[in-house]
Amino acid sequence: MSVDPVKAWYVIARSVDYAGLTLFAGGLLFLAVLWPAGADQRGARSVLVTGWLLGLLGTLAGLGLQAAWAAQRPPGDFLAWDLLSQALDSQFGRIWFSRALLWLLGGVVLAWLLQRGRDAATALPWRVGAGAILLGLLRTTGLTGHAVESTRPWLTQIADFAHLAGASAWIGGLAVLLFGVLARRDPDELASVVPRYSKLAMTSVAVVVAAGVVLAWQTIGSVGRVFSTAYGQTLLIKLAVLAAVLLIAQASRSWVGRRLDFAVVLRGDAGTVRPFVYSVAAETTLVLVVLLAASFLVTASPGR
Amino acid sequence: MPGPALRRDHVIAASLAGAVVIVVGYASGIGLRPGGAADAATPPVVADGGHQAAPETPATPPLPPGGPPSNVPATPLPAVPVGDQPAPSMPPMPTDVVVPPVPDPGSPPATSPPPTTPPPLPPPGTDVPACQPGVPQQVLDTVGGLPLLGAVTTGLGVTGPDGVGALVLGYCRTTGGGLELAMVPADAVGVPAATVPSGR
Repeated sequence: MSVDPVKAWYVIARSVDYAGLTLFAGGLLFLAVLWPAGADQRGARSVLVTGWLLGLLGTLAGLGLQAAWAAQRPPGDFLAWDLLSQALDSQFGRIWFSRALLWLLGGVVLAWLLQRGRDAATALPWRVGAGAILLGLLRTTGLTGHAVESTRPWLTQIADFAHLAGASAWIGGLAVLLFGVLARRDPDELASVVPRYSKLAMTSVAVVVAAGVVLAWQTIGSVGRVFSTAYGQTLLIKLAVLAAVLLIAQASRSWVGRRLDFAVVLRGDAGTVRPFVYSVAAETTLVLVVLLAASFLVTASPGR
Repeated sequence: MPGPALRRDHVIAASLAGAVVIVVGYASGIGLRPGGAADAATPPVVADGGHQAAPETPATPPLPPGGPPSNVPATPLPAVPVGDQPAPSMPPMPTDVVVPPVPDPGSPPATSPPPTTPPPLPPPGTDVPACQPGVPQQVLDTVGGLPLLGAVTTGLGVTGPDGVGALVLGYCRTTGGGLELAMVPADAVGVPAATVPSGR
Protein backbone atom coordinates (compact mmCIF):
# COMPACT_ATOMS: atom_id res chain seq x y z
CA MET A 1 0.00 0.00 0.00
CA SER A 2 1.56 3.27 -1.08
CA VAL A 3 1.07 6.32 1.07
CA ASP A 4 1.01 9.75 -0.49
CA PRO A 5 3.97 11.60 1.08
CA VAL A 6 2.07 14.84 1.41
CA LYS A 7 -0.79 13.02 3.11
CA ALA A 8 1.65 11.35 5.49
CA TRP A 9 3.07 14.74 6.44
CA TYR A 10 -0.43 16.09 6.82
CA VAL A 11 -1.33 13.27 9.20
CA ILE A 12 1.79 14.03 11.22
CA ALA A 13 0.82 17.70 11.34
CA ARG A 14 -2.62 16.74 12.60
CA SER A 15 -1.04 14.55 15.27
CA VAL A 16 1.19 17.42 16.37
CA ASP A 17 -1.81 19.70 16.44
CA TYR A 18 -3.82 17.25 18.54
CA ALA A 19 -0.91 16.74 20.92
CA GLY A 20 -0.52 20.48 21.31
CA LEU A 21 -4.22 20.99 21.93
CA THR A 22 -4.45 18.27 24.55
CA LEU A 23 -1.30 19.38 26.37
CA PHE A 24 -2.22 23.05 26.34
CA ALA A 25 -5.92 22.71 27.12
CA GLY A 26 -5.52 19.93 29.63
CA GLY A 27 -2.55 21.62 31.24
CA LEU A 28 -4.38 24.90 31.68
CA LEU A 29 -7.37 23.09 33.13
CA PHE A 30 -5.17 21.14 35.50
CA LEU A 31 -3.48 24.28 36.82
CA ALA A 32 -6.69 26.28 37.05
CA VAL A 33 -8.74 23.62 38.82
CA LEU A 34 -6.45 21.14 40.51
CA TRP A 35 -3.03 22.63 41.08
CA PRO A 36 -2.67 26.44 40.88
CA ALA A 37 0.68 26.23 42.66
CA GLY A 38 1.97 24.32 39.65
CA ALA A 39 1.95 27.55 37.67
CA ASP A 40 5.18 28.37 39.46
CA GLN A 41 6.74 24.98 38.80
CA ARG A 42 9.05 24.38 35.91
CA GLY A 43 7.68 20.98 34.87
CA ALA A 44 4.11 22.14 34.53
CA ARG A 45 5.14 25.32 32.73
CA SER A 46 7.21 23.25 30.30
CA VAL A 47 4.17 21.15 29.46
CA LEU A 48 2.16 24.26 28.68
CA VAL A 49 4.88 25.87 26.57
CA THR A 50 5.40 22.61 24.69
CA GLY A 51 1.70 22.26 24.05
CA TRP A 52 1.40 25.81 22.81
CA LEU A 53 4.34 25.45 20.44
CA LEU A 54 3.11 22.12 19.10
CA GLY A 55 -0.38 23.48 18.62
CA LEU A 56 0.72 26.57 16.75
CA LEU A 57 3.21 24.73 14.56
CA GLY A 58 0.83 21.86 13.90
CA THR A 59 -1.94 24.23 12.88
CA LEU A 60 0.25 26.27 10.52
CA ALA A 61 1.81 23.16 9.01
CA GLY A 62 -1.57 21.47 8.70
CA LEU A 63 -2.97 24.44 6.82
CA GLY A 64 -0.17 24.42 4.26
CA LEU A 65 0.05 20.65 3.96
CA GLN A 66 -3.68 20.28 3.45
CA ALA A 67 -3.46 22.83 0.64
CA ALA A 68 -0.52 20.97 -0.87
CA TRP A 69 -2.42 17.70 -0.62
CA ALA A 70 -5.48 19.22 -2.30
CA ALA A 71 -3.35 20.58 -5.12
CA GLN A 72 -1.31 17.38 -5.41
CA ARG A 73 1.88 19.29 -4.80
CA PRO A 74 4.94 17.97 -2.94
CA PRO A 75 5.08 18.41 0.84
CA GLY A 76 7.87 20.95 0.54
CA ASP A 77 5.43 23.38 -1.05
CA PHE A 78 3.40 23.72 2.13
CA LEU A 79 4.69 27.24 2.62
CA ALA A 80 4.14 28.29 -1.01
CA TRP A 81 2.25 31.54 -1.01
CA ASP A 82 0.00 30.63 -3.95
CA LEU A 83 -1.12 27.51 -2.14
CA LEU A 84 -1.75 29.33 1.11
CA SER A 85 -3.70 32.12 -0.56
CA GLN A 86 -5.75 29.52 -2.40
CA ALA A 87 -6.36 27.64 0.85
CA LEU A 88 -7.52 30.76 2.63
CA ASP A 89 -10.30 31.11 0.07
CA SER A 90 -11.76 27.80 1.21
CA GLN A 91 -13.73 27.14 4.35
CA PHE A 92 -11.11 24.74 5.62
CA GLY A 93 -8.45 27.40 5.22
CA ARG A 94 -10.59 30.00 6.92
CA ILE A 95 -11.17 27.73 9.90
CA TRP A 96 -7.55 26.75 10.25
CA PHE A 97 -6.39 30.31 9.84
CA SER A 98 -8.77 31.15 12.69
CA ARG A 99 -7.22 28.37 14.74
CA ALA A 100 -3.80 29.88 14.16
CA LEU A 101 -5.12 33.21 15.40
CA LEU A 102 -6.55 31.49 18.47
CA TRP A 103 -3.18 29.91 19.18
CA LEU A 104 -1.61 33.36 19.03
CA LEU A 105 -4.23 34.61 21.48
CA GLY A 106 -3.43 31.57 23.60
CA GLY A 107 0.09 32.90 23.75
CA VAL A 108 -1.25 35.90 25.66
CA VAL A 109 -2.83 33.59 28.24
CA LEU A 110 0.36 31.58 28.47
CA ALA A 111 2.56 34.64 28.87
CA TRP A 112 0.18 35.95 31.51
CA LEU A 113 0.52 32.70 33.45
CA LEU A 114 4.29 32.52 33.07
CA GLN A 115 4.63 36.07 34.28
CA ARG A 116 2.27 35.96 37.25
CA GLY A 117 2.36 32.29 38.17
CA ARG A 118 -0.04 31.15 40.84
CA ASP A 119 -1.61 34.60 41.16
CA ALA A 120 -2.77 34.33 37.55
CA ALA A 121 -4.00 30.76 37.88
CA THR A 122 -6.26 31.69 40.79
CA ALA A 123 -7.51 34.97 39.31
CA LEU A 124 -10.94 35.08 37.73
CA PRO A 125 -9.88 37.27 34.76
CA TRP A 126 -7.16 34.83 33.74
CA ARG A 127 -9.57 31.92 34.03
CA VAL A 128 -12.12 33.73 31.88
CA GLY A 129 -9.52 34.50 29.23
CA ALA A 130 -8.09 30.99 29.27
CA GLY A 131 -11.57 29.47 29.17
CA ALA A 132 -12.51 31.57 26.15
CA ILE A 133 -9.38 30.53 24.29
CA LEU A 134 -9.92 26.86 25.08
CA LEU A 135 -13.56 26.99 24.02
CA GLY A 136 -12.52 28.61 20.75
CA LEU A 137 -9.80 26.06 20.06
CA LEU A 138 -12.06 23.11 20.83
CA ARG A 139 -14.92 24.54 18.81
CA THR A 140 -12.89 25.32 15.71
CA THR A 141 -11.40 21.84 15.75
CA GLY A 142 -14.90 20.44 15.39
CA LEU A 143 -15.76 22.76 12.50
CA THR A 144 -13.81 20.53 10.14
CA GLY A 145 -13.81 16.79 9.92
CA HIS A 146 -16.52 14.22 9.74
CA ALA A 147 -18.63 15.88 12.43
CA VAL A 148 -19.92 18.49 9.99
CA GLU A 149 -20.84 15.92 7.36
CA SER A 150 -23.25 13.76 9.28
CA THR A 151 -26.99 13.83 8.89
CA ARG A 152 -27.23 15.28 12.39
CA PRO A 153 -24.45 17.86 12.38
CA TRP A 154 -25.40 19.48 15.68
CA LEU A 155 -25.37 16.17 17.51
CA THR A 156 -22.03 15.14 16.09
CA GLN A 157 -20.47 18.55 16.64
CA ILE A 158 -21.54 18.56 20.28
CA ALA A 159 -20.20 15.03 20.61
CA ASP A 160 -16.99 16.07 18.88
CA PHE A 161 -16.57 18.99 21.25
CA ALA A 162 -17.15 16.76 24.27
CA HIS A 163 -14.79 14.12 22.87
CA LEU A 164 -12.00 16.65 22.41
CA ALA A 165 -12.62 18.34 25.76
CA GLY A 166 -12.57 15.03 27.61
CA ALA A 167 -9.45 13.84 25.82
CA SER A 168 -7.69 17.14 26.52
CA ALA A 169 -8.55 17.08 30.22
CA TRP A 170 -7.35 13.51 30.48
CA ILE A 171 -4.17 13.62 28.37
CA GLY A 172 -3.02 17.09 29.34
CA GLY A 173 -3.63 16.23 32.97
CA LEU A 174 -1.55 13.09 32.60
CA ALA A 175 1.35 15.11 31.26
CA VAL A 176 1.23 17.70 34.05
CA LEU A 177 0.85 14.92 36.59
CA LEU A 178 3.87 13.11 35.20
CA PHE A 179 6.23 16.03 34.61
CA GLY A 180 4.95 18.30 37.37
CA VAL A 181 3.47 16.56 40.38
CA LEU A 182 5.22 13.18 40.25
CA ALA A 183 8.57 14.67 39.33
CA ARG A 184 8.54 16.64 42.59
CA ARG A 185 7.13 13.86 44.82
CA ASP A 186 5.98 16.44 47.33
CA PRO A 187 3.82 14.51 49.84
CA ASP A 188 1.34 17.32 50.34
CA GLU A 189 0.87 17.73 46.61
CA LEU A 190 0.56 14.00 46.14
CA ALA A 191 -2.11 13.83 48.80
CA SER A 192 -4.13 16.76 47.46
CA VAL A 193 -3.68 16.63 43.69
CA VAL A 194 -3.53 12.95 42.73
CA PRO A 195 -6.94 11.86 44.11
CA ARG A 196 -8.65 14.85 42.52
CA TYR A 197 -7.02 14.21 39.18
CA SER A 198 -8.05 10.56 39.43
CA LYS A 199 -11.68 11.64 39.67
CA LEU A 200 -11.27 14.13 36.84
CA ALA A 201 -9.67 11.48 34.66
CA MET A 202 -12.49 9.02 35.31
CA THR A 203 -15.08 11.60 34.37
CA SER A 204 -13.08 12.59 31.29
CA VAL A 205 -12.73 9.02 30.10
CA ALA A 206 -16.47 8.46 30.54
CA VAL A 207 -17.17 11.55 28.44
CA VAL A 208 -14.64 10.48 25.81
CA VAL A 209 -16.17 7.02 25.50
CA ALA A 210 -19.79 8.24 25.41
CA ALA A 211 -19.05 10.94 22.85
CA GLY A 212 -16.93 8.53 20.85
CA VAL A 213 -19.80 6.08 20.60
CA VAL A 214 -22.05 8.83 19.24
CA LEU A 215 -19.40 9.92 16.75
CA ALA A 216 -18.72 6.39 15.56
CA TRP A 217 -22.44 5.71 15.18
CA GLN A 218 -22.97 8.87 13.17
CA THR A 219 -19.82 8.56 11.09
CA ILE A 220 -19.82 4.87 10.22
CA GLY A 221 -23.51 4.12 10.38
CA SER A 222 -23.44 0.35 10.77
CA VAL A 223 -21.44 -2.32 12.52
CA GLY A 224 -20.58 -4.00 9.25
CA ARG A 225 -18.65 -0.99 8.03
CA VAL A 226 -16.39 -1.20 11.05
CA PHE A 227 -14.85 -4.35 9.62
CA SER A 228 -15.28 -3.72 5.92
CA THR A 229 -13.77 -0.26 5.56
CA ALA A 230 -10.28 1.07 6.16
CA TYR A 231 -11.81 3.75 8.32
CA GLY A 232 -13.46 1.16 10.54
CA GLN A 233 -10.27 -0.85 10.81
CA THR A 234 -8.31 2.24 11.84
CA LEU A 235 -10.98 2.89 14.43
CA LEU A 236 -10.55 -0.66 15.73
CA ILE A 237 -6.82 -0.09 16.13
CA LYS A 238 -7.52 3.10 18.00
CA LEU A 239 -9.99 1.31 20.27
CA ALA A 240 -7.53 -1.50 20.93
CA VAL A 241 -4.82 0.93 22.01
CA LEU A 242 -7.36 2.83 24.05
CA ALA A 243 -8.38 -0.37 25.80
CA ALA A 244 -4.74 -0.99 26.70
CA VAL A 245 -4.49 2.56 28.04
CA LEU A 246 -7.60 2.04 30.15
CA LEU A 247 -6.17 -1.16 31.59
CA ILE A 248 -3.05 0.72 32.64
CA ALA A 249 -5.22 3.54 33.95
CA GLN A 250 -7.04 1.01 36.07
CA ALA A 251 -3.70 -0.04 37.55
CA SER A 252 -2.92 3.60 38.30
CA ARG A 253 -6.30 4.04 39.94
CA SER A 254 -5.72 0.95 42.01
CA TRP A 255 -2.36 2.35 43.16
CA VAL A 256 -4.04 5.61 44.17
CA GLY A 257 -6.57 3.65 46.22
CA ARG A 258 -4.09 1.34 47.95
CA ARG A 259 -0.64 2.94 47.97
CA LEU A 260 -1.05 6.70 47.86
CA ASP A 261 -1.52 7.08 51.61
CA PHE A 262 1.53 4.92 52.16
CA ALA A 263 3.58 7.09 49.79
CA VAL A 264 2.44 10.24 51.59
CA VAL A 265 3.38 8.81 54.96
CA LEU A 266 6.82 7.94 53.58
CA ARG A 267 7.18 11.56 52.41
CA GLY A 268 7.04 10.68 48.71
CA ASP A 269 9.49 7.79 48.87
CA ALA A 270 10.80 7.19 45.35
CA GLY A 271 10.48 3.43 45.53
CA THR A 272 6.86 3.66 46.62
CA VAL A 273 5.87 6.18 43.98
CA ARG A 274 7.81 4.52 41.16
CA PRO A 275 5.09 2.02 40.06
CA PHE A 276 2.63 4.87 39.77
CA VAL A 277 5.13 6.90 37.74
CA TYR A 278 5.65 3.97 35.39
CA SER A 279 1.96 3.42 34.81
CA VAL A 280 1.33 7.12 34.19
CA ALA A 281 4.29 7.23 31.79
CA ALA A 282 2.95 4.21 29.94
CA GLU A 283 -0.47 5.83 29.70
CA THR A 284 1.03 9.04 28.36
CA THR A 285 3.05 7.18 25.76
CA LEU A 286 0.17 5.07 24.54
CA VAL A 287 -2.23 7.97 24.23
CA LEU A 288 0.18 9.42 21.69
CA VAL A 289 -0.58 6.35 19.56
CA VAL A 290 -4.28 7.04 20.08
CA LEU A 291 -3.76 10.60 18.86
CA LEU A 292 -1.92 9.33 15.80
CA ALA A 293 -4.80 6.96 15.03
CA ALA A 294 -7.23 9.84 15.47
CA SER A 295 -5.21 11.84 12.95
CA PHE A 296 -5.53 9.02 10.45
CA LEU A 297 -9.27 8.86 11.08
CA VAL A 298 -9.90 12.54 10.36
CA THR A 299 -8.07 12.25 7.05
CA ALA A 300 -9.74 9.01 5.96
CA SER A 301 -13.05 8.41 4.29
CA PRO A 302 -15.63 6.61 6.42
CA GLY A 303 -16.96 5.07 3.24
CA ARG A 304 -20.51 6.24 3.56
CA MET B 1 -2.06 49.04 43.65
CA PRO B 2 -4.63 46.31 43.24
CA GLY B 3 -7.29 48.56 41.75
CA PRO B 4 -5.68 49.50 38.41
CA ALA B 5 -4.09 46.05 38.09
CA LEU B 6 -7.45 44.45 38.59
CA ARG B 7 -9.01 46.65 35.95
CA ARG B 8 -6.20 45.90 33.52
CA ASP B 9 -6.70 42.16 34.02
CA HIS B 10 -10.38 42.54 33.39
CA VAL B 11 -9.73 44.47 30.20
CA ILE B 12 -7.33 41.82 28.96
CA ALA B 13 -9.77 39.02 29.78
CA ALA B 14 -12.65 40.83 28.11
CA SER B 15 -10.51 41.56 25.07
CA LEU B 16 -9.52 37.92 24.81
CA ALA B 17 -13.10 36.76 25.09
CA GLY B 18 -14.24 39.28 22.49
CA ALA B 19 -11.45 38.34 20.12
CA VAL B 20 -12.35 34.68 20.46
CA VAL B 21 -15.98 35.43 19.63
CA ILE B 22 -14.96 37.34 16.51
CA VAL B 23 -12.48 34.71 15.36
CA VAL B 24 -14.86 31.80 15.94
CA GLY B 25 -17.61 33.73 14.19
CA TYR B 26 -15.31 34.30 11.25
CA ALA B 27 -14.41 30.61 11.22
CA SER B 28 -18.07 29.64 11.35
CA GLY B 29 -18.80 31.80 8.31
CA ILE B 30 -21.44 33.91 10.00
CA GLY B 31 -23.36 35.81 7.35
CA LEU B 32 -22.72 33.26 4.66
CA ARG B 33 -24.45 30.00 4.07
CA PRO B 34 -22.12 28.03 1.88
CA GLY B 35 -23.52 24.85 0.41
CA GLY B 36 -20.77 22.59 1.52
CA ALA B 37 -20.19 18.95 1.96
CA ALA B 38 -22.42 18.97 4.99
CA ASP B 39 -25.33 19.97 2.83
CA ALA B 40 -26.42 16.71 1.37
CA ALA B 41 -28.64 18.27 -1.26
CA THR B 42 -25.91 20.26 -2.95
CA PRO B 43 -22.86 18.57 -4.39
CA PRO B 44 -19.76 20.36 -3.16
CA VAL B 45 -17.60 21.56 -5.94
CA VAL B 46 -14.77 23.38 -4.24
CA ALA B 47 -12.62 20.93 -2.41
CA ASP B 48 -10.44 21.56 0.60
CA GLY B 49 -7.77 23.94 -0.40
CA GLY B 50 -10.12 25.94 -2.52
CA HIS B 51 -9.52 24.47 -5.93
CA GLN B 52 -12.36 23.84 -8.30
CA ALA B 53 -13.41 20.23 -8.15
CA ALA B 54 -15.74 19.85 -11.10
CA PRO B 55 -17.38 22.65 -13.03
CA GLU B 56 -20.60 21.80 -14.70
CA THR B 57 -20.66 21.04 -18.36
CA PRO B 58 -21.93 24.08 -20.26
CA ALA B 59 -25.41 23.89 -21.58
CA THR B 60 -25.98 22.46 -25.00
CA PRO B 61 -26.58 25.23 -27.56
CA PRO B 62 -30.00 25.47 -29.18
CA LEU B 63 -30.52 23.05 -31.98
CA PRO B 64 -30.87 24.43 -35.48
CA PRO B 65 -34.14 23.48 -37.11
CA GLY B 66 -33.92 20.19 -38.82
CA GLY B 67 -30.37 19.64 -37.76
CA PRO B 68 -28.96 16.76 -35.78
CA PRO B 69 -28.39 17.32 -32.09
CA SER B 70 -24.91 18.19 -30.95
CA ASN B 71 -24.33 16.32 -27.75
CA VAL B 72 -21.70 17.58 -25.42
CA PRO B 73 -20.26 14.70 -23.47
CA ALA B 74 -21.22 15.16 -19.87
CA THR B 75 -18.50 14.84 -17.28
CA PRO B 76 -19.61 13.00 -14.16
CA LEU B 77 -19.22 14.83 -10.91
CA PRO B 78 -16.60 13.39 -8.58
CA ALA B 79 -17.48 11.79 -5.32
CA VAL B 80 -18.34 14.00 -2.41
CA PRO B 81 -15.17 14.84 -0.50
CA VAL B 82 -15.28 13.69 3.06
CA GLY B 83 -13.15 14.16 6.07
CA ASP B 84 -10.21 16.41 5.47
CA GLN B 85 -9.39 14.82 2.20
CA PRO B 86 -9.05 16.87 -0.92
CA ALA B 87 -11.36 16.16 -3.80
CA PRO B 88 -10.23 13.61 -6.37
CA SER B 89 -8.48 14.89 -9.42
CA MET B 90 -10.75 16.49 -11.97
CA PRO B 91 -11.31 14.54 -15.14
CA PRO B 92 -10.16 16.25 -18.33
CA MET B 93 -12.73 18.64 -19.69
CA PRO B 94 -13.55 18.95 -23.37
CA THR B 95 -12.10 22.19 -24.59
CA ASP B 96 -13.57 22.36 -28.05
CA VAL B 97 -16.84 20.71 -28.90
CA VAL B 98 -17.30 20.39 -32.62
CA VAL B 99 -20.84 20.90 -33.80
CA PRO B 100 -21.64 18.54 -36.64
CA PRO B 101 -22.53 20.24 -39.91
CA VAL B 102 -26.16 21.07 -40.33
CA PRO B 103 -27.65 20.56 -43.78
CA ASP B 104 -29.36 23.71 -44.89
CA PRO B 105 -30.79 23.60 -48.42
CA GLY B 106 -31.08 27.38 -48.60
CA SER B 107 -27.44 28.22 -48.09
CA PRO B 108 -24.11 26.82 -49.18
CA PRO B 109 -22.67 24.27 -46.81
CA ALA B 110 -20.32 25.65 -44.25
CA THR B 111 -16.77 24.44 -44.54
CA SER B 112 -15.82 24.70 -40.88
CA PRO B 113 -18.50 25.22 -38.27
CA PRO B 114 -17.48 27.50 -35.42
CA PRO B 115 -16.53 25.59 -32.34
CA THR B 116 -18.40 26.19 -29.14
CA THR B 117 -16.16 26.52 -26.18
CA PRO B 118 -17.26 26.42 -22.59
CA PRO B 119 -17.10 29.72 -20.78
CA PRO B 120 -13.78 30.25 -18.98
CA LEU B 121 -13.75 29.41 -15.34
CA PRO B 122 -13.26 32.31 -13.00
CA PRO B 123 -9.99 32.31 -11.11
CA PRO B 124 -10.19 31.10 -7.54
CA GLY B 125 -11.59 33.68 -5.22
CA THR B 126 -13.53 35.57 -7.89
CA ASP B 127 -16.31 33.08 -8.46
CA VAL B 128 -19.84 33.79 -7.34
CA PRO B 129 -20.68 32.40 -3.95
CA ALA B 130 -24.27 31.32 -3.68
CA CYS B 131 -25.48 32.41 -0.33
CA GLN B 132 -28.43 33.78 1.49
CA PRO B 133 -28.21 36.82 3.69
CA GLY B 134 -28.63 36.20 7.35
CA VAL B 135 -30.79 38.33 9.57
CA PRO B 136 -27.98 40.78 10.36
CA GLN B 137 -27.38 41.31 6.66
CA GLN B 138 -31.05 41.99 6.03
CA VAL B 139 -31.18 44.43 8.93
CA LEU B 140 -28.13 46.27 7.62
CA ASP B 141 -29.61 46.42 4.13
CA THR B 142 -32.86 47.77 5.53
CA VAL B 143 -31.07 50.40 7.59
CA GLY B 144 -28.90 51.33 4.64
CA GLY B 145 -31.97 51.83 2.51
CA LEU B 146 -33.65 54.32 4.82
CA PRO B 147 -33.75 57.86 3.47
CA LEU B 148 -31.85 59.74 6.16
CA LEU B 149 -30.40 57.14 8.49
CA GLY B 150 -29.18 55.10 5.55
CA ALA B 151 -27.16 57.99 4.20
CA VAL B 152 -25.60 58.59 7.61
CA THR B 153 -24.71 54.95 8.27
CA THR B 154 -23.38 54.49 4.77
CA GLY B 155 -21.38 57.67 5.06
CA LEU B 156 -19.92 56.47 8.33
CA GLY B 157 -18.99 53.19 6.70
CA VAL B 158 -21.33 51.04 8.76
CA THR B 159 -23.68 49.88 6.05
CA GLY B 160 -23.28 49.66 2.33
CA PRO B 161 -21.21 47.38 0.11
CA ASP B 162 -17.91 48.64 1.49
CA GLY B 163 -19.06 49.18 5.04
CA VAL B 164 -18.05 47.47 8.22
CA GLY B 165 -21.15 45.30 8.10
CA ALA B 166 -20.25 44.00 4.66
CA LEU B 167 -16.66 43.49 5.77
CA VAL B 168 -17.65 41.47 8.82
CA LEU B 169 -20.64 39.62 7.44
CA GLY B 170 -19.54 39.32 3.84
CA TYR B 171 -21.23 40.23 0.62
CA CYS B 172 -21.76 37.97 -2.33
CA ARG B 173 -20.42 39.46 -5.52
CA THR B 174 -22.18 38.94 -8.78
CA THR B 175 -20.41 37.84 -11.92
CA GLY B 176 -20.30 41.44 -13.11
CA GLY B 177 -18.38 42.49 -10.06
CA GLY B 178 -21.39 44.15 -8.51
CA LEU B 179 -23.05 43.26 -5.27
CA GLU B 180 -26.16 41.29 -4.65
CA LEU B 181 -28.17 42.58 -1.78
CA ALA B 182 -30.80 39.88 -1.74
CA MET B 183 -29.37 36.50 -2.42
CA VAL B 184 -31.38 33.52 -3.47
CA PRO B 185 -30.30 29.92 -3.78
CA ALA B 186 -27.97 29.28 -6.65
CA ASP B 187 -30.18 26.88 -8.48
CA ALA B 188 -33.06 29.35 -8.37
CA VAL B 189 -31.20 31.96 -10.41
CA GLY B 190 -29.27 29.64 -12.61
CA VAL B 191 -25.90 30.29 -11.05
CA PRO B 192 -23.79 27.27 -11.84
CA ALA B 193 -23.41 25.02 -8.90
CA ALA B 194 -19.70 25.02 -9.64
CA THR B 195 -19.47 28.39 -7.97
CA VAL B 196 -20.92 27.23 -4.67
CA PRO B 197 -18.15 27.29 -2.11
CA SER B 198 -17.49 24.15 -0.22
CA GLY B 199 -18.68 23.77 3.28
CA ARG B 200 -15.34 22.35 4.28
